[in-house]
Amino acid sequence: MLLKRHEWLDLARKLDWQYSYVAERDVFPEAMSGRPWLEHAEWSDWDEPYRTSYSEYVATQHEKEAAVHAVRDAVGRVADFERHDRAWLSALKLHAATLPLAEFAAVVGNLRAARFGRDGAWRTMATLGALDELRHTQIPLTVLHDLVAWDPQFDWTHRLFHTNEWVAVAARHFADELLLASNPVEFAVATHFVFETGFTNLQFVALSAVAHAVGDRMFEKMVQSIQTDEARHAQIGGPVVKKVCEHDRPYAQYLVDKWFWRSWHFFAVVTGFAMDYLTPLAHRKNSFREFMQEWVLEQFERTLRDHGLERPWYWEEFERSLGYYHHQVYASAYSYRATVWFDLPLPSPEERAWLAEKYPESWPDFAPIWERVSDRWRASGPGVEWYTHGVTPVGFCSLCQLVLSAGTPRENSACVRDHGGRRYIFCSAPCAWIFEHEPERYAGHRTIVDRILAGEAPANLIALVRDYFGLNEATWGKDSSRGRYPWLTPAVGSAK
Amino acid sequence: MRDDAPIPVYGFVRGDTLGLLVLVRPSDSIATLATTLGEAASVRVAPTRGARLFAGERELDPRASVAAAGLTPLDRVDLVPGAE
Repeated sequence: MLLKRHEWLDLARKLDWQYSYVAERDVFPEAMSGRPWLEHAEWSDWDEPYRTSYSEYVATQHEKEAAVHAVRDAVGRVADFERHDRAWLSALKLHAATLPLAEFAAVVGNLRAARFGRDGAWRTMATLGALDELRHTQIPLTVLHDLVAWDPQFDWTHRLFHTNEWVAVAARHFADELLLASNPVEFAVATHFVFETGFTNLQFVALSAVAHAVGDRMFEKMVQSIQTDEARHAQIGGPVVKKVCEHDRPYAQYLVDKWFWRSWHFFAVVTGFAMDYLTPLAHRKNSFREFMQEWVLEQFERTLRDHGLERPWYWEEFERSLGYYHHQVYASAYSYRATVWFDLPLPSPEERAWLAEKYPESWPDFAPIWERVSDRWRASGPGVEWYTHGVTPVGFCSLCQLVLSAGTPRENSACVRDHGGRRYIFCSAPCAWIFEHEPERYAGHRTIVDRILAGEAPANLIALVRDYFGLNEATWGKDSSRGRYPWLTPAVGSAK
Repeated sequence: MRDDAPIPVYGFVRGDTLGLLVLVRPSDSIATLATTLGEAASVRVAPTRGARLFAGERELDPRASVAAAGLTPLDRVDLVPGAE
């Protein structure tokens, strides 16, 4: 007689046993499993809502894979991508490069939890999570790296994380700690609870809607397919946070505070650029800040309350930065666009009007910058990239490794600190706070500036871009239209 | 001459979007540093006459040398454009 599903399921997915030859602490040492270290009896009520068996997982994933490949066969060819707006292609290149190898690092984080997670159900879900993340590596590589023959910038789909380009340095600093170095408890809180539940799970829903509006069915399908996996394995986070809160609430709060800020900076660059600058204006519905307020903040605050946790201590600074940070980084990146692997559009007057409407309190600080850049394009004429490009080396945060673009144009929030006989600079008070809590973890890392001053990286921008970042004239970022904007001509300008 | 080797300082121009790394000699004047920093940010912020340079709350004398102003490597300085 065959057993019914509910009769065998927990034996398959939530299997734990007593150790008779070794101590539990030796099987799950704190250094590998994380803290608070608790006897398994404390974890035995750990569970998640999906309760998936391996065979069910394989069957579901097979269907999802088939659907992605069918869409790719139908609308994933070069001719399909050629139809897209150039700015949208840059959004694809940005996601293509930052997504797959970070997802591959997440395979390792999940596999560590699959071995050292403290309950059988957690370990089973982490095993499926590792398989998910392997899939999230393979799909964008398959779909987007294949476009390299058409556009060499798509080579960075695979290349980014293997370079010393500044976004890569920042992305590795973030992803290595988050996904490769964290023990299963910190991984669950940081990755599943904060990054996935708080940010990317909802972002993927919004991003697929944007892709749909743009008419990019391939990206829409890819993101949708990934999001359904994320929604499942992100469920690991809640029950781990619950247990950490029961035994060491200050530690849970610290992890949330640390990883929300770290995730926010990375997220703002990738998603903020895509929503407010790289999506064609006709297809924009909400601004990045509106998306954050409606989709991320409300639900994340509610989730924090459900666990008895507070908002991070820097919440006011965070809310203010919703109107500034990604605008600051975008203007910085535009004026140093040869240091990245995708092209950046100069916001048109219509786009600036939209941004002014969406960001009434902060856009007046950015409008003069874009007027200045536009004036320089007018003066140089199209095709002269370097007249609207910086040449002086820029500073990078000693914690997040991103450019020093926090605060506002009127008051940049960077702060200098000395530690262990060395000088560090942080883009913001929360980045300095994270460093000061775990200096042994961060003090040895060197920013691009540290490497330039040590003679390891060239100070000359062209040499830095070519020899250290690994870009060349075919791949480095340019103005999306090479400065050929009808509205830039004096005749059009004077007519207005 | 070794005593006058260039030192790097982090420069921030009010109205700009990021911090820059500029090299300056200890014997250079604060006015020279201000000009260098203003030019470095000029793609985004138009240089102005009468810009003032600060180290924290302290306004630096444009006639003083970088060394006399007490600037050390990787200090932060802020350029506040003048009114034009």
